[in-house]
Amino acid sequence: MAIIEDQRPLELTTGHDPVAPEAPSPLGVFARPKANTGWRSWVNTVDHKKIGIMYGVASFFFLLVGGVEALLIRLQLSVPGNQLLSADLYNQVFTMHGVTMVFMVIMPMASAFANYLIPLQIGARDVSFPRMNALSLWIWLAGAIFFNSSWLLGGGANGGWFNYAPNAGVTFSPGTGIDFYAIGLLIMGIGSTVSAVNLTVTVLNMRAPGMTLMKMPVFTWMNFVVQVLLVFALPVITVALLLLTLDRMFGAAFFDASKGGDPFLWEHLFWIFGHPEVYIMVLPAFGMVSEIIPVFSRKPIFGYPFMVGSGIAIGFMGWGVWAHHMFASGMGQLSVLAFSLSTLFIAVPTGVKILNWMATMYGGRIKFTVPMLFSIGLVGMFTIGGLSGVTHAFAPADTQQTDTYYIVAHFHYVLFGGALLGMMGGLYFWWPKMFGHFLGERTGKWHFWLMLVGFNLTFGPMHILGLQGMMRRTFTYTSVQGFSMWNLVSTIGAFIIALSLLVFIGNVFFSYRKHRKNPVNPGADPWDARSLEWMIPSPTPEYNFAEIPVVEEFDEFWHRKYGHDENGRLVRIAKTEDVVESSDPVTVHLPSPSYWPLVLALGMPLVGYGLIFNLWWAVPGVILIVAGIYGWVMEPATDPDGGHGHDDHHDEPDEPDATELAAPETAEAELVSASAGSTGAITGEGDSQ
Amino acid sequence: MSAAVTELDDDSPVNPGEHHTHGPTDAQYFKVFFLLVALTALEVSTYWWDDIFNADTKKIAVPVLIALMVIKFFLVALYFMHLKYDSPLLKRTFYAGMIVAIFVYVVALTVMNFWSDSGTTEFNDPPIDPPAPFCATSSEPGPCPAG
Amino acid sequence: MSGLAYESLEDVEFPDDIHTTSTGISNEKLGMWVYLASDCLLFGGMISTYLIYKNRPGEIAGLSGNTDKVSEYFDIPFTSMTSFILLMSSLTMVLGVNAVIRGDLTRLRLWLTSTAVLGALFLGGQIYEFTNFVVNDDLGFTSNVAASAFYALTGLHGVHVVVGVIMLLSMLAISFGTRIRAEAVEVVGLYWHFVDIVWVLIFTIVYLIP
Repeated sequence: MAIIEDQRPLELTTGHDPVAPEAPSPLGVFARPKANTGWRSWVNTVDHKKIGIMYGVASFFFLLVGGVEALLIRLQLSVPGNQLLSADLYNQVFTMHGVTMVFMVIMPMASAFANYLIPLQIGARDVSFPRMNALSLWIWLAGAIFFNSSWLLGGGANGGWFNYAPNAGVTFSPGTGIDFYAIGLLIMGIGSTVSAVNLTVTVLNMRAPGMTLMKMPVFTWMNFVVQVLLVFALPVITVALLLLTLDRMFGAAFFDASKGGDPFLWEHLFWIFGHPEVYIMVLPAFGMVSEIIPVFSRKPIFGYPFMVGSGIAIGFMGWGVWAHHMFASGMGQLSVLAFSLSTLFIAVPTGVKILNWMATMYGGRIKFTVPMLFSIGLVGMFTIGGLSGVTHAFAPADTQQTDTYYIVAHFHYVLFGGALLGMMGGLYFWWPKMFGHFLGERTGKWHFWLMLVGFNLTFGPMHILGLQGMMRRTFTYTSVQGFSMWNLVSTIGAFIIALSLLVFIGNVFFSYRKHRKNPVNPGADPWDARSLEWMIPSPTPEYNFAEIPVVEEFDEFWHRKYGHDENGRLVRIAKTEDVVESSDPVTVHLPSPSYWPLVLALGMPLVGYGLIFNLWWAVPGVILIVAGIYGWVMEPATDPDGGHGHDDHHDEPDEPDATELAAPETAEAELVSASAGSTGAITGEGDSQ
Repeated sequence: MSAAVTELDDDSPVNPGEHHTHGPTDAQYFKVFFLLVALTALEVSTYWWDDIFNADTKKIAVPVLIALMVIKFFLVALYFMHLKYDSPLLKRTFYAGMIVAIFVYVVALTVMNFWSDSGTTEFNDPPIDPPAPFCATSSEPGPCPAG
Repeated sequence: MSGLAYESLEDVEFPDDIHTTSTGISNEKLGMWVYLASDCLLFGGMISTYLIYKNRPGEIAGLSGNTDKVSEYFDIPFTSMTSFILLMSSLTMVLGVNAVIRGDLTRLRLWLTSTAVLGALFLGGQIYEFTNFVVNDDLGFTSNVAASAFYALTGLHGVHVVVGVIMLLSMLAISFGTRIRAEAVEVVGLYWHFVDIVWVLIFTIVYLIP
């Protein structure tokens, strides 16, 4: 049953007067930023959409950096006995490639979508802590630049992305690369923690009226699971990195067996974090695919509760499988058995997801658009990666496969074929919503097919190489080992992937130019989609929703457009134009921009350089951090002169009850007086009626 | 899980902020505090139990200490941190973190043979009774016969 | 709405969004609890590290300096006293929260000050303890892994206390300004109690269990 009747807006008029008077500068340092255009509007923004786009741009840049590193690896391995990279440089390149792709590409790209879409999908105007959102972006970016600056300052990290002890100790890695690894990841971890807390609270607290947890879109659900996983997983890697830092810089011996330390502890701590991390990387893409497939199959997602439940189950079970990364470490038969079993079990919820996607497509009117192609690509490629993953669960087989290219093939099928393909689909799908024009469909198909073929050419042969016994992290091989042909194929594949990325960049560039010449707005709902973000104009206005929608059911937007006739057939009951929002948002008040998050974040890498090179460098860093915190605290979250001192959260009670719906005037009057009570910022009247 | 999820939404109290009026009074806080002090005193006293009872009390003291620690933990969490009075969602959030922490670290300690640690300086002491290894050439469990 | 007692308050601001969030819990409070849940894993990791190393001070070649277990130097009566101080600071903190809910700013300032002072006393005790170990017992951070783990764990807790004291003093400063939010004091209080319960765990697991 769709509700199309004229909903009285429950919107509370909070802010007024969009043209604010000149603000006095807080603490006399910065004028309260006012710019709405130009680069300043990006530097000081607290808008979740701009922050999301910045995450996306930065992570795409790092995708190119990591991609160049990948091409270097493949060039070095293309022929036996290659001299392109020295062994040492090769170690640095594959380590930097791994860390970059994990922490600077897949995680932030997922963050980009989460930041942009979660508030839209739950019907909110922003995240719960807008300034902290900006802070997490800047801290992450500062950490990422800090980490990559190691190339210029004595060489990158060279211990592999999981950086096992004792190789990571000073004895075996005397350079500064691993210091950059430890401190860079600590900095990025702070940013991710802030962001995870923020988005967790956003999903719990900022939902539109009527949007219960079980009416949230699957994308939001999967990202919610991811944020909770981050909240719990990041402190574990923080402990590990702290201990590593103490080992390397302050003379402790936590991971040095010769002094009574235990290298095993690093493995455990790393993988307690590392396995949930795998789901942190892949679940957002699962969420995107779960949005795209129903839209282009014109069917609701099959088994929504199972889809959500399996995501939660993956999140929980992900905590009990970490030691399957350590089967070859000799930890004892019982441990191996227990972790082998739990690993086999975790394949079940993943299988549920794959079957649900196929059941969604089954019998649907499938349109093979580019986002749909990428989604189907994910379903296929992830299944291959998942199945090779199940082979690792069997400890005897895994002992053979450990540290061979078979493992490399497996996790690239999961992370490239899973996470990256899904996010590419997400880009094509949400591009019109984000930028107000389509990406080229024909070019997009070239992009997809090139990427799919290149991907399979690159990573498919690695299965064979691995089973033939080619070890990963070895900088070359000899011609008599029989690895030559498949390595060459793999290198060719890598360049096809690079070509596909160039096609994508060209697509972005040319579609934008076409749009500039002849702007055609795709409209609010170009794909005839299902969830709330398609109900608002494209590109998304700064205030998101002029009126916060009142949600009645799952796939609310779809149900406002379509109903069933008496025979149970799907019929359109309203024109899209009638359903989408068009009202003028004169009464919306947004959180004010701020410079302080950037100031605070800038201090972090300085402290890092100070720890590595000379403690004096840390002094300005600490000063910046302290100044950032105090400037932040002293600056009101919403500029009191930019409107009325009231946060722009959706200002309705959660579930508007019948009386309120019947008599919106009463509810509104009550809320207005509540806001009036606190605009004075002094009285508690609003709470005490 | 979905049942828990629907409940979660029902958490919204009709009158949020109400817990302030329902929170403990100063007098109640003092009561909890004195209880905490008594428990701490009992905890500290275990340090001298060996001398007082003239025996090795470790086997009793350790479980007592752990029990007291858990009680103190929950007294502070439930009363001082208002978990008892606040929305169940907060309780679930915090307990989720605790449970995950206890689970992963207890398992990690187990895998690292912490519980069977004999207290020597060697690390990763094997369990006291290692399972008999199998011998490929013999049908009996146990090490291969000599020769 | 409940809480008629608030009506006469002039200086206490109550959270604006408390009746507008989906769960009825303010963002700040929920955020703090999520963070505390996350911190459970941080301290869990450090405590586990100490547990693994506590019996392995390393009578292994290549180590110079003191190779005794750190637990042999514990001064239980002294640490009991500092633990008691930290426990007492939790009491003053809740009294402060009750004061700000009543709108009693004088008492709030008194209790915030006492909490911060007690926290500083605890830190002083910790510094004294560390100095004592290093100077009198020749047991430094790098002496052996057990000592490293001990210093890392208690040091990390100490850093949390320092942050807490700074937050308390900031609250105190804000209470002299025009606006202080009862919710903010409560959220700082949550952090402070968490630091306290972590010490409850450390005191038992590290100090008392032999």
